[in-house]
Amino acid sequence: MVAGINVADHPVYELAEKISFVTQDPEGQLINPDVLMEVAFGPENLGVPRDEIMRRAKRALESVGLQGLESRSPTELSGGQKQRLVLAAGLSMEPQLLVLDEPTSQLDPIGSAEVLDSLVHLKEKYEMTTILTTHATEEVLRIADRTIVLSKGEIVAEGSPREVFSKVKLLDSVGVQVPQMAMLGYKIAPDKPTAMTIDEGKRLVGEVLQNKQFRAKRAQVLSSTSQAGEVVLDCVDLSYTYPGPPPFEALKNINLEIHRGEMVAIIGQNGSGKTTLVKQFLKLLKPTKGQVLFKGKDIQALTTGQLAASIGLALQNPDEQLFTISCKKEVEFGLRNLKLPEEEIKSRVDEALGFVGLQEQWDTFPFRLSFGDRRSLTVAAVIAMRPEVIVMDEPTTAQDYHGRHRIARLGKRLNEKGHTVIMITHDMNLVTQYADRTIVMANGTVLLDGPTSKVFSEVETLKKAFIKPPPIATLDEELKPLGIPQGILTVDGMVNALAEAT
Amino acid sequence: MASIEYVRKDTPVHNLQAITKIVLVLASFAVSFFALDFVLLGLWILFLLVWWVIGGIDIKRLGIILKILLGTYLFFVLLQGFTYRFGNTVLFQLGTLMVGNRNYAAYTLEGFLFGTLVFMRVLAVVFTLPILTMTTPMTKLAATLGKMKVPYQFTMIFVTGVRFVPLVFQTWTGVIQAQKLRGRDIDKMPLWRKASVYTSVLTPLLLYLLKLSQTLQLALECRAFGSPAKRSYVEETRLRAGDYIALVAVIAITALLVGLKATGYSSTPHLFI
Repeated sequence: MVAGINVADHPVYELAEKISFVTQDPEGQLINPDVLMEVAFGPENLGVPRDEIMRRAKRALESVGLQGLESRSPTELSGGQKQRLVLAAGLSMEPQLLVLDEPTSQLDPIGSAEVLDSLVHLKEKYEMTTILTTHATEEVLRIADRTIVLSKGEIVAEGSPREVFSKVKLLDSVGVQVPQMAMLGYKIAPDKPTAMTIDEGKRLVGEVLQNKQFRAKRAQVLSSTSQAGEVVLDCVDLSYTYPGPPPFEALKNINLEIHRGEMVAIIGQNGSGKTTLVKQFLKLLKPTKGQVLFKGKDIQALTTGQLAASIGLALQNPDEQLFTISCKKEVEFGLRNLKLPEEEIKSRVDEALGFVGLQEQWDTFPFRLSFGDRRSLTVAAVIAMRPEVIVMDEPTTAQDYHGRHRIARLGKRLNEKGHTVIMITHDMNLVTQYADRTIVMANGTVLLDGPTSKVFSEVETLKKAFIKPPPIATLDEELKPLGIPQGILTVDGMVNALAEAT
Repeated sequence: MASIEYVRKDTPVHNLQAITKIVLVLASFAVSFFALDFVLLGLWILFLLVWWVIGGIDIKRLGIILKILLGTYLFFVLLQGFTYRFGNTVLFQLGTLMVGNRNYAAYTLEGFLFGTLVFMRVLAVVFTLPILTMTTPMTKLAATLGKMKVPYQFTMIFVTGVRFVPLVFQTWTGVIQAQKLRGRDIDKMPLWRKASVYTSVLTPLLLYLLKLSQTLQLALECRAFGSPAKRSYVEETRLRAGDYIALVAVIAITALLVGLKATGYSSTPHLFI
């Protein structure tokens, strides 16, 4: 029963008047050529009079902060704006209930913040009942009144975010990421009330430390920096302009060296040029200006097929990258192109599927897998080819906590075996935990480039790229007066640092 | 297809109602059928190009359309050159192929000109389409078709069809790129092997599009598409001064050209008897 009606007895168009549903992919939900028409589409279908539609459209667009953009094409909007437009299109139906299925999973941090701000606004101004499914627990903490944890189709925890996120062991066992402050509290003071906010974390650390002090020699940046090996990828004055119309300069004079054995994270807003950059490495796009060198040689002399043996790239959309009838055949495809012996192929397929946890589904048709598993399969297909450089573009989107860390750990393991690993991600927890070096991109340029701990200490510059450091980094910054070592980016890093205090 | 998609601009043609442009399309059909003459069709094509200029449509697209239609033109002039029944002036001949009194191996000037004329008829219609599609948002077109009592479901099929075209190209490119990324050296393959690769792309392409259509279906249903309520439209379809001026111009020129032809005018009376 929803809003007093049994959903099984009613067609979707009737339910649409009571429940608004927003899915994770804004692109697939936008139908009309401009913003106003998108918002008006639902009420038009219900035969709502024109003046009433205009009133509703105005209100819906104001609620999500898109007023003034009525005549814009949805294709011109940012990811966050598109998702807010989908939200507005649902709101114009004046529903009683808003259901959002991972609405921020494909958005950058600023896009996510925009959508969440809209939800907070709707809750405060219109008391809109909202159900939000998400893997992003820090988001839940910020906006939810009530939290339900599902595992294998059953409710395993329910209550206020504070109550639910106190159950650290349970959450960990069902693959839900515990917010960083709660995890820190659990690790340093399990008997005390769970910390949720940075202020609470600060208080808790203060209580744990009491009069303890840090020795001066530890007051240094803790994160490691990578050793510079041979340059494997070198971008020289690299520029790229999408032809349009109108033309769009996606990369502007990029000069960048990637060394053998590095584990590099590339971060930045949607549209900052991250994917355009990595596509240049395999000649999927031809530079408008400048060049890309692989081990000193201009890649223009090679084909993408030839480069693929040395540089593996798993792109964002798994559905465009899966084209065979089973997971096994999908992984085999690249290996057969490498003309490897049958035994070697078999062994690599088993290994790669095992790495991403898909060994049991070896015979499954790839399109039957979940979105997260389809992403994992594309990664498996790339790593099975064992290229020197592995590039993963948003490999962890729509994955749960365990899935995200499994992929990132796999990247780290390959890196430790000598592969150069480059990962594009919006997940700052993964970046801070696994990447030695971080490149921040904004508007087609490299804004910051250096050891991860150093990059995340540049808070003001990060703001320009709309990147928010993870809560633990902010806590570390705020604990500076206590003499705590700076540059801590992970919960374990903070726990270890506190253990050093005497 | 990309050369006829809607481009948002603020021009007098963009500001016209869709019905005015639909009348222009119908007039193009009328002229191409009832005013088959070099001068008359030429004047109509010039008239259409004035619409292109006023509508801010990139004239470079003319070249794209002509390039696409080049094969059609060659087909027309070859076919008519050898088969036009009033062809007398032989330009060259490839031998003798007599059927009745006519040598079908002889290529005639009249046939060449008639083939060109038929091609101009095609151009007259094809040049009109960008004026409709590139200056009219689908919602405006849908509202107009709704007012013309065309069932909204049919309109929606057209609207979503147009929306899917760029997605098909994007997905096609994506799948080809994915195969290259797995070491399939398509760039260096001979043409016949490339063709087999392209065939293998069809399955994932169709599956992906089916999946996408499911998402779209869900999005449509969540916005009450299919509701039995009588649909309303936000788009205004009332004619304004600009529409009346354009309609008068279209109807007057159509009547003039068709009228001239009906009264026996021909710019090449000695050729087409």
